[in-house]
Amino acid sequence: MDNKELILRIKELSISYRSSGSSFWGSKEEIVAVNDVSLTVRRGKTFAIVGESGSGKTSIAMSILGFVKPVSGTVEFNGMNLFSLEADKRRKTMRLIQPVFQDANSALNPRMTVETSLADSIDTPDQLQKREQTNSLLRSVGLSSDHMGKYPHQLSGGQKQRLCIARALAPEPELLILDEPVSAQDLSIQAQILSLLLEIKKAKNITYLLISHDLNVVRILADRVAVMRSGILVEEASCEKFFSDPTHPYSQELLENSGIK
Amino acid sequence: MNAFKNLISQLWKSPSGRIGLILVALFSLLALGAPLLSPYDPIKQNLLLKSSPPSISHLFGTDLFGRDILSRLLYGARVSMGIGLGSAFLAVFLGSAVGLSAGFLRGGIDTFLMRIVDLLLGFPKFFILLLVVGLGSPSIWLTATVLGALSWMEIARVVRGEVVLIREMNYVKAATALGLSPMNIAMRYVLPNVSGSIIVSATLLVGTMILVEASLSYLGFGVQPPDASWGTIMNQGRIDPLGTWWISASAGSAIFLSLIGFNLLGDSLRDVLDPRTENSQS
Repeated sequence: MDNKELILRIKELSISYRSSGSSFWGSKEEIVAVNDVSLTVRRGKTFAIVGESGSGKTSIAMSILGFVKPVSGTVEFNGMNLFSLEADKRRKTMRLIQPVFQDANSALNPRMTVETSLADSIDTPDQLQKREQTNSLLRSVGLSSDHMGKYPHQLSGGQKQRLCIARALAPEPELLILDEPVSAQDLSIQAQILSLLLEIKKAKNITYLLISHDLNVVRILADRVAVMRSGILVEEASCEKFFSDPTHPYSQELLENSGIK
Repeated sequence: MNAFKNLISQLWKSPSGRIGLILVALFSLLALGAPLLSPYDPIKQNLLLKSSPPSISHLFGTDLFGRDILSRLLYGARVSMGIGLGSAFLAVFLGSAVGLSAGFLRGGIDTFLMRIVDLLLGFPKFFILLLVVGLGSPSIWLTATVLGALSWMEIARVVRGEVVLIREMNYVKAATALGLSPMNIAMRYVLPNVSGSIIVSATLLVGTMILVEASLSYLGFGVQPPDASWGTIMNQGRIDPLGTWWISASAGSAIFLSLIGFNLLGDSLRDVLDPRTENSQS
């Protein structure tokens, strides 16, 4: 595969956490969350990581974003190892990878208005340009300038998630990490957010790394699917292959449990 | 200004908030307006009128040197509330800075700062206070500084605990992913979200500081005569508590009511500033 076609390459990534000490002397137990996982994500495609809670899929996302330090392995973005970049270069590079979190309530600063939240994500000193971009971002996610002065608690669940998506789009990212982007929403809002994500992908050709346990969402958005179980990647396949002919028994079990197969 | 108006109207909705606001505003106005409101010179002695009970000409009576107690209470409010506010401000500034640094930076800095806090909390505070104020020449500034310097640790702990929780919130992670500087994140994303706790702690601390200052002055270590503070006025009342009951009663009532005022205001602020409370102030 051509290197330019690859946006993200994860090599032999292992992540573990230390539990708080249970003995009197506080000796800590090591919990392996991700064990030697390797995968590649192609530019402009949607790569989904599925698996039950605790399978390690969010740990991978947090590691890409730099919030979790891996025990070993590398994460390459556009050919650059994210773990060996200097602080300044890393900060600039990381603006190209933006997260959309599951819970929009905790993803928005309760003390900031919609306008301030978005203005903070736009990197220009020109206030007029900032305001225009803020307006344009709001429109791109189906919100209007009427929402500018509102605080998060004055928005509905769907509006909050739209705002989170707008904020993630502000630095014009190349990769969006969608961590369970619709699971906290009700069904009608889920459909709206999914259709918004499809529209954005089509318009901006952004790559999505989708973290989800909801296979219906995966079927709508994903091009490739990786299945994780207890920190191990057990299967990786194209979306059609995964849904029509999964090879690993755990993948078959997941599909059966979700009522798809 | 609009946010301040909203805050006041939210506080006004609850009876405790209303009483707290009225008492704090009243004592603040009395303290500020002391030169205009005092009927007599607070330090001028008139031995012919010494230990006079409350009357029309001296509403709260006179002390052992014939000084008008109402005038001394009004001027004393400036000293007591000034020390209370000044020392609480210093404690809040130090506590917030240490708590924010420890909770936001974590790691070795967190451990180092929190062990210092543990160590200082183990010191007998009042003893150190008496020692430092006793060794130096007692003054309003020294008392306020020492009180503030010995009271920031609890605030540091509260702030650090909140900051540790807030730095794990997704909006802080999102700000980090946007490449905002750690200082920007700490000051604009973390600090405003712990401001509610800081304001509440500060309000409650003012009351405590007024009480500690009164205790110090009562023991003769605080403000020195002839200057008045509520503690020094109470000190005079101890010589003949039954015969000159109005001296202790008036100063004691001032301390009691101001404490009630600051505590009620602090409790109400806690409710109003908590984002989880309905009708809270954003």
